[in-house]
Amino acid sequence: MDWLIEPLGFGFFQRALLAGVLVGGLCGALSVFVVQRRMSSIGHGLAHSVLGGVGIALALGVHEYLGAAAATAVAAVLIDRVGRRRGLHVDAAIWIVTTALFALGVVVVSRVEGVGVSTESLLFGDVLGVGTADLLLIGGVSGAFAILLLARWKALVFTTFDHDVAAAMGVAAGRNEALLNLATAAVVVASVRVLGVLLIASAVVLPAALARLLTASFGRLMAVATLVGSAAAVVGLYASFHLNAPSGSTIVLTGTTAFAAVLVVVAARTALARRRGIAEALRAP
Amino acid sequence: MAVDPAVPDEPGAHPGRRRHGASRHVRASNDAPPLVVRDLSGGYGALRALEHVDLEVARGEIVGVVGPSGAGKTTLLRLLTGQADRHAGHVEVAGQAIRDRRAPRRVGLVPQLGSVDWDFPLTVEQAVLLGLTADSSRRPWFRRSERARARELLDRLGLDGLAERPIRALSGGQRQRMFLARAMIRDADVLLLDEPTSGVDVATRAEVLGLVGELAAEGLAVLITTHDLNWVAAHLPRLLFLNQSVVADGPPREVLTPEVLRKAYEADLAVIHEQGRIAVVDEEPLLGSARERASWTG
Repeated sequence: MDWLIEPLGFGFFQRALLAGVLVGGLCGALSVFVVQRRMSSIGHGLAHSVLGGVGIALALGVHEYLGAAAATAVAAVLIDRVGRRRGLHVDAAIWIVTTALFALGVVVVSRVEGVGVSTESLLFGDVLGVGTADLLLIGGVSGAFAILLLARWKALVFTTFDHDVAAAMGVAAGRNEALLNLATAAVVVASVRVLGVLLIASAVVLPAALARLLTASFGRLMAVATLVGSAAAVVGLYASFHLNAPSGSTIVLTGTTAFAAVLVVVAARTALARRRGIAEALRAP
Repeated sequence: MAVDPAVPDEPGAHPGRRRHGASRHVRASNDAPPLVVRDLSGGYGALRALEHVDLEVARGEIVGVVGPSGAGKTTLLRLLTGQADRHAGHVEVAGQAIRDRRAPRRVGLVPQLGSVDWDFPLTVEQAVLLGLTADSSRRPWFRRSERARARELLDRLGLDGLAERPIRALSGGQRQRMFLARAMIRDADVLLLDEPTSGVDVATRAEVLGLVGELAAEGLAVLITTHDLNWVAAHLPRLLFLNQSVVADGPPREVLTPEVLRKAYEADLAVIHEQGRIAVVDEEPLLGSARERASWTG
């Protein structure tokens, strides 16, 4: 039991665990909307744009979260504008806009690295360096997202299922989509410290993909994805502590391992059921 | 109770305010036609897709909306549900004027089956209940009375016992029935079906039309868009031909003429009347010699 209790003796690990559970659950809950809206690229793209925002914030001497929030907002607007151009699709717009911001971030961060910012921690996360400000931001975004879900659950589900019919039946579908986009940007900004720019994409896709293998109800999907996100963070953090590996990577690898295991079990059960069905059909007179 | 048509009232646009309003369950007078459209023009932004449409649909009436691709059939449905920009004209649903870009409460929409994500994690009952979203409370769950209403509609449409099934497990006909239930759960006066014959087999088409006929007999006004000219000609009492504007409107025997078809489709088509039925065929056979065709058809 030492391996379980020992890390809890460190203040940084306690903060990391709290941040990890919240970010994992937050990304897990969001992943249901990201996956069902078939917008898996958006998390990846917005996370890339964060780097540009952080770089510019550091260059200007303002708080990095301000830069990250501004960059995701600018990216979301530019994606919308570029994606509306005839002949272009949203996925092309996502990559054009966000990789440009990412590249800008790499250039600026490399120029201002002297002020104590590690490109590595931005790219791969630094959950063990989580401070009070980070926890406050993560807690605030988690609370706001929970309120959004509770207040607009039915409307968000209907909009995600069928935007046009929802709008035709009196639901403010456009506003719901805008709120989901805003929530995605906020979750990405809040998760950067824990997961890193390059690893967020997995956290906002994988939990829902895993949960989808287990349930066909939207409500249960949300519950399972949230739990999976948090559990992957806890296991990943312990692995990070004991293996002395980057925490964002161990969290993502934990989630991926769980997904692969569930996929194998589900596939085996399906194959077994099919074989049993064929055998019964052959036995039937 | 009559409702003043001059007072705009689009409950779907203000669910929060309407929820506690006394008028929620008030139906308009039966004398008011469920759907009245006057000189309606509209499209998407500055692009005009449809103009000068006049249309009145009475209770119990089923109208087939036909025309070539791009004729404005879907735009008409989108204008009636507040999903396209109205440039001019007037729309009334059950005697109540509907403002531009507002979804009228008493209009139910059945989308094309092909436009739906059938792997979406919903049960049949949940999918039907979503139709109540704009009128329901902000709580994340539906009330017991709302669930009872959904079950009642599912029973009525022959889906009893399937409420807990995932939507992907339904057959084509069952999917159409489920969407009819969702469209009706808000006490619709007008039912709009977008291409219900698209991608479904002959038996499903017959099943859907039978159900729609029953609903119309109960007083609903129904608009069906389709590309299947012969299907509507054979089964519907009224056709509305569109080609950016109304080309013709009336019973098949009056409007199914080569002149109307040429104007609507910009193609030469022939109309065959035989044993009280009407069919539209190409003016000239498109493939093969006369002898070959005779061998194909016997």
